[in-house]
Amino acid sequence: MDAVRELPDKELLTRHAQGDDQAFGVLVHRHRERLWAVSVRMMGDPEEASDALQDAFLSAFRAADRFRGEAQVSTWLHRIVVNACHDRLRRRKVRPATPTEDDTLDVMSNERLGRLGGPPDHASQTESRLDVQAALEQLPLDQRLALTLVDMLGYRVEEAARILDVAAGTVKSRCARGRAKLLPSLAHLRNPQPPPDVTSGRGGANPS
Amino acid sequence: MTPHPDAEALAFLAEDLLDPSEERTVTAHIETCPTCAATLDELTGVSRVLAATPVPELPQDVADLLDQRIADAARERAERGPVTEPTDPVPAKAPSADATVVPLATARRRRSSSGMPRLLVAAAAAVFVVGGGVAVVNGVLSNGNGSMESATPFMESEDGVGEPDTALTYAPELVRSETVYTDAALDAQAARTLERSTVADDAGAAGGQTLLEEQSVTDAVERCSDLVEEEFDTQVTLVDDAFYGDGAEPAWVLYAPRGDQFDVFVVDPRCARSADAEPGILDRTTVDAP
Repeated sequence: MDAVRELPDKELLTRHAQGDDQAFGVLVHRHRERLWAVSVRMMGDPEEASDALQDAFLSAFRAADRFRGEAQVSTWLHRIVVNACHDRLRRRKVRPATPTEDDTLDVMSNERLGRLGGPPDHASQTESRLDVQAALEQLPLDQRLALTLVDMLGYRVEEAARILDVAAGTVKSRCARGRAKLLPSLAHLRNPQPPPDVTSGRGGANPS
Repeated sequence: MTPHPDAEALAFLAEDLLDPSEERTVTAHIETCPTCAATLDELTGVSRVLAATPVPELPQDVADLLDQRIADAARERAERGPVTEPTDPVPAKAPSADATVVPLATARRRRSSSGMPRLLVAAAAAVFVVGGGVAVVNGVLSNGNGSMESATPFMESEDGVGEPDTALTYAPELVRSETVYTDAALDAQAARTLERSTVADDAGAAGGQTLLEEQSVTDAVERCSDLVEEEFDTQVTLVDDAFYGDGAEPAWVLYAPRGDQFDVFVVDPRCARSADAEPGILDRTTVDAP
């Protein structure tokens, strides 16, 4: 098992397709945190994010033999998650309106944010995190997703574009619009000190 | 001095998305406008704030659930033995089809009973019209062999094959009334189909009409009906493989009893493979049980 954990993604996927019953689990453990982040941002609700993520992983489980290797496994998994979320969002639309949908969203978000709070933290940091989440909720899905991938998770624009199946320019413009919209609500959080990793591969977020 | 560009224009400038003339104008403005220069800085600050914000942590219960689902899937696969999956005729360039397939598959709940006196009875029935009729028609005749293409072989192999008699045991009744349902006449048409079916007790006999012949249910029909059942928390007892709308497009009309009525859902048959198609309800209504 330890040896399995060292294997590259593609090898894991191949082994899984060949019948290895451990390989897929290892792959999931490797990527699930980020995929969870994507799913939560898209669905806006932990329950639904959990459902979508289950959909996605089971789908990937079954489709592994159809992975052709042109893409990174990580990109492929992200796409499956994004598509699973889109699918659920579409189905949410055809469902008859229930009071839990839009009307109570604001109320729910407080509760939800509490649940997503994670481990104890410095009060100020927690506060700013909640502010950021609340601000992100105000954005249209496309912009929220682009910013989640590029600014929050640090994906290059090109990779985000592959995940979202849109042109790189589209990702950039969604990010730009989203940042402009976030400006008023996040200006007070602006940190004059760049975080330590600001130069590490976040090139897509800034003009070069 | 030119008017202040808005924040979006500045954000576009930062991403190098402005066309050249606009870029010149905005750049020139910033050089003489400390306010806008500061705003441009703040936009970079937004990215920094986002980057510094911890992503939501995966809750332990969700992590456990994922492990469990995957372990279940692995066990199921092992039980099925060595997989000889049909090779997908379509290059699997995009995973999108795969991703969207799943919710349907996961919706496979089974009813107990059935087969016989579908007396689901007394109550009201709901009719769902499902789109995707083409797939159904072919599917009914050939049991899906080669007719569903693309996304479906995958689903068939994963879900359908190896479950003998699912149609008889659990599935809704399937008929082909040849009706071209329309929005305007949906209620009357649905009522008539119900009368000609056996889902509501002695309906057929009472009306003195020819009963619709029961067809064998395909996996695709079952999946659509499972999906609708999950969405609307109901039980589909009758599916009419028919047509809908001005174009007489293939559609599945699903009937689900509720009280003294039936909910009727008109569904695009593509819902069985969803993929890019909107697995939409084309129309719906509620009619009284015959």
